[in-house]
Amino acid sequence: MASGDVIQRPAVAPENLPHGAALTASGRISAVRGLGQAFTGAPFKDRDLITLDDTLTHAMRITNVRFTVYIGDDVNPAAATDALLPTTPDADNSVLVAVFPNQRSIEVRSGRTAADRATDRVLQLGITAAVSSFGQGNLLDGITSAVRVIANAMVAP
Amino acid sequence: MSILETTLIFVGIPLLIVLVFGGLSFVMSKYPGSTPSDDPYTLDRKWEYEPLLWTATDESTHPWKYPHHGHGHAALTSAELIGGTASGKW
Repeated sequence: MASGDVIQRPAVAPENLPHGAALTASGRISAVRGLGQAFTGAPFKDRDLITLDDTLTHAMRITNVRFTVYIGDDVNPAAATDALLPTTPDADNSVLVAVFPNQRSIEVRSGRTAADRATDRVLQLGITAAVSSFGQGNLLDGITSAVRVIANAMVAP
Repeated sequence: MSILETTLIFVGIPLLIVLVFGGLSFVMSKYPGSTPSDDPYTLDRKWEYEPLLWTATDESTHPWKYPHHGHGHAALTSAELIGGTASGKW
């Protein structure tokens, strides 16, 4: 395998992509939006998304544990998060932060390998950090501080 | 070339072009469409979007060795896989 090869398998096969969409080398899907069409994705500010991306990358580099963030809607957040963890990448060595805005609920899970450092107490610190931002209505701010607090607590407990 | 001809070519034609484009830009829509940050999501609204899953791309949790597939980790159930648990409400 050459050093530049892409080893991940994309979630969507390139032939099933909608019109005007392309798969980039990192696995991200880049799609066009027609002139005058409304944006249908989740409305977040670019600045907040970039901060979250930087935080996830930094957290992963200092801990060597994969951090995953999920936002969704489910009647039973705890069971939904338990079912979601095995489907995420590197689930065994990862920390999953799942937020359910409609249920006003946040769930954090760590995989088996990561659990010696991402203990229940460390995960609870992240939730405390997130909930204070959520009280002010800031979803991404809260998630970002949860990831930051958990990663820092894992490095220097 | 008469004075009139010179004026028409060097003043009339540029003026015409400016007026056509200026007029079109007044009549047409000013923006290509709404942008996501026009109305950012806040938690007092209902979440009515598709589920989102984010992680850091192009990062490896094992930088000292080649990442590889086929460990058989997929066979683990969630009860075996989960090491730490925490939950909260706000």
